[in-house]
Parts: sequence; C-alpha cells; structure tokens
Amino acid sequence: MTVFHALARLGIEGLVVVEPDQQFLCLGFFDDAKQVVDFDFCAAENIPVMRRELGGGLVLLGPGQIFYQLVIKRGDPRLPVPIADAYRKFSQAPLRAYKRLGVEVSYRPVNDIVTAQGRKISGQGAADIDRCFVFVGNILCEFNVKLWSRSMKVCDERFRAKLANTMEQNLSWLARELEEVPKPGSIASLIQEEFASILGPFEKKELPADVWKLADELAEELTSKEIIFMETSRRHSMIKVKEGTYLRCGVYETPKGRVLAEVEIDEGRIKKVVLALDATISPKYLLRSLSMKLRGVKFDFHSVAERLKKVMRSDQARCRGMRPEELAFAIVGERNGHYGKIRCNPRLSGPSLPHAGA
Amino acid sequence: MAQVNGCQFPDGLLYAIVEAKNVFVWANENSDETFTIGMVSVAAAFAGTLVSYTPKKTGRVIARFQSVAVVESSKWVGPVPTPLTGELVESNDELRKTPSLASSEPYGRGWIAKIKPSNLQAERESLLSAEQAANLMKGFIDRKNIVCPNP
Repeated sequence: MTVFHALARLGIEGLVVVEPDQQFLCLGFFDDAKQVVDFDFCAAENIPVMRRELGGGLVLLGPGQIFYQLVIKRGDPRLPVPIADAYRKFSQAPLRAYKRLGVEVSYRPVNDIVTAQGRKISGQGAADIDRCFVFVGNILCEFNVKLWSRSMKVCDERFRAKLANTMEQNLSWLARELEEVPKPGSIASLIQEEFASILGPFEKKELPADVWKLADELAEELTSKEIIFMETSRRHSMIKVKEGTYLRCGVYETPKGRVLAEVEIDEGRIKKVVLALDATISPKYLLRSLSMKLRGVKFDFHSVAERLKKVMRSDQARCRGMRPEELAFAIVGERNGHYGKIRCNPRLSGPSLPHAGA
Repeated sequence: MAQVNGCQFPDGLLYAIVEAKNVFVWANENSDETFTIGMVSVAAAFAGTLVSYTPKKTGRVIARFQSVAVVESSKWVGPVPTPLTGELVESNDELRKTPSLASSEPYGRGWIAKIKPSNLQAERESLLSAEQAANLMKGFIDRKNIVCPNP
C-alpha cells in the first residue's frame, strides 16, 4: 500500500496493480483509530494496522483483493479537475473489467461500484499527494466479512452480529457472483487493459530503488503509533456499509437507565431500529411499537424526536426517567437543533411523558 | 467582485493561483499583522462538499505553498496550501465542527487558518488582486468546465 504513496511523493506517474499477501486493517486519513479499531482483537490475531493518505473509512485488506492504484500528475489533461468527474472517469476501468469478468455492475456516485442486486462490490478512494492525484480501488475476489466486523470497535457486542449480517447482505465479491473466479494474474491484466483504454498505453517498468526505499520508510511511518493514534476531527457516529446505507450503534446513558439503539439507515431514512432499554417501560409492547413506528422516519434528531413524542403520547406510555429526546439522541447520535424541554404529566403516577402542548 | 462561471473572487482579498502546484487560495490581512487564508470558491467547487478538516498544529512554521490543513470530500483527501510562509497561529474550530462551511462560505466562516507571515515583503508581490485572479483562472475554469454553485 505504500508504493503508490511513494510514487506520488516522487512525482512518478503510473498504475500499480497489487494483491496483498497478508491481512491488515487500513484506516482512512481522517479515521479516529481509537473509535473504530478493536486493537485487542487485532493484537491477538496479529492483524497489523496502518493509516493511508486517502479518504474513506476503515477497511480490511488482504489476499483475494486485487488493488489498482493510479498515480497521475495534477495538470495532466487526462485528469478531470472536479473530483466527482475524476471518479466517474476512472471508475470506467473497474466497471468494464467486472463486466468482462461476467458480473453486471453499475457506478453509484461518488465512489461505489454495485451489482445488479445493489450490493457493493468495489470501493474507491482518492487523494492529492504532493503534485499527484491518486486514485485507488479494488476488485474483490473474496472478502472475510466476519473478520472485518470482528476487527471493528463496536459500542456493544450485541451489535456485532447485526454488523456482520448487514455487511453480508450489502456487499459482494467475485466468488459470490461467479462459478469460477479467474486467477489474480488474469484479473490484473484485465484492469490494466481497461485503464489503458482510458488513459493510453502503459509501459511496464521495474520500480526504481528510491521508490522501494521511500515505500519502506512510509510503511514504518504509516504504521507508527504517532500516525495511527493521531488526532483527527472525525466523529464516528455511523458505519457506512455502502453509498446510502449506514449502521449505527448508539448508547445513551442517563442517571436512570441506559438506551442501546441499533439503527439501519437507508437513503437518509430509518429502515430498521432495535431498542434495548434498562429503564422500566410501560406498556410492554412499547419497545416494538416504537421500533415499528420509526421506520421510514427521516434520520435527523428533530424528525425522530417528534415521532417518538407522538407515539409515546398516543400510547399513554410511562418511561421512568426516559424522555423522547433521550431516545432520539441514542438513535441519531447528535442534536441538529434545539429541542424544547419536556415536562412530565403530573396526572399520571410517577414521572411520565408529556401530553400534547408540552 | 470578479466572477467567472459563478466562481467569485471578492475584491479586497489577495490571491495565490498556481495551477501547476494545485494552489488556489486567498489571503486577507488582519489588523494584528496576521493573515486569514482560505480556499477560493473554484477549489471548493471542484473538491465537492467537505466532510472533514484537520489543520496542522499551531506554532508550526509552514513554507509558502506547503499544506496548512488537510481536507476530505467524498473519500478524496487533499492539502490546503498556504499562500505565505509563516507561523500557523490559529485554526478554525467552527470549521472542525462543520467542514461544509469551506464549501458553502469559502470566503467567510469557512476560512482555513491564520498565518503570521515571516517573509511578507518578498512574497506579497506575487499575490494577485481579485481581477487578476479571475483573469488568470478564466481559461482554466472554461477548459475544465467548472461551474461554481450559487453562494
């Protein structure tokens, strides 16, 4: 993974096609490692962790994944300036490669390639490194969903099964799509041909010694504690499964109880939510009712809180010390705007939820 | 205000435009001898809406055209260069919380950093006025079919 970093820093253009020979986790440039990586598990399983100088999130790399890494100088007329246009143009290479392999795929902006069934089969990232633009993606021959979901830090172990299951449903790879997966060498040739059809012919060359030297130095740097644990501004409130599909594991602690929310978000709306509450809640069917009535709600604090308020009011529910906006906070993870104070209804015994007009 | 294809170049700011080095930034002199710097709207347009912003540590001296911050949009990561050599004295906390400001308000709340220049006399001469920057960018904007969204 550090060869393309080295090429970019040295201003050497080219296309690298490579298959990793070991599993490792790769953080996106802005990922907060402590929030997303289960370091205890990785240490126990000898899974190294590195940080790349590209965007995107945490990924598991390893054998069975063929990476294409394009390095092209800024100012090259073949490079579109708007980032979205560069993605669209260079994504044609893997798109055509998949089709030649017999897998019907389409491009989902900005950086996903999906099967006809809507499963993500390839993800891509890009960066400006020194004076070069770098475009990186992969052809997945196989992928270990279980290992990846196990490597990630989750707010609650109950969420991990949900994570693995959702990934399994929404991702794909060649072994799932084809009776027989071609050899890595054939796939590498295919992807090289398709990039050449976009950019012009490539000339195969040995990498100069200084590229390898710099790549080795970068490997040390990008796996160092200083870089792995560097401070970033990212808040990890959700896990992106594919473009438009997210998973969230939210926990909200109050003095009176704990709320755990497993949320599946699809195109900006709640697809499914499972709630677990430590607080005493009445009536007992409320949890299931809440979950069902949140389906389709726009995934923002205000919309979720409003729906919760309406449901809890209509069900005459009592939730000791748990207010709709506390549930909303567990579900959404952040408040988008001010939400007024909710007062308990003094006519019901014990603390309760607000009646209309509160 | 100069404008090309909706891409604005407000008067009163100074600009560093060096296409070969991917430098498209502005600078505004403050009353305390520092300069506020940011991305011109063209750069914000072709990067797309920003989702992350990480400035370099304050106190560092950064050479002209080297990175003062790294930004991300749609899984692309790139540097924002400084138009002036100097010490990074302040980063934008509001931008950290709302990175999209660099796209929606590149000349206002979406500023990138504040620099205390250490080589101003030599480097100031190479900075451009709004009109000069717009004229220089016109060919680039037309060639690359860039259109900036309405502010």
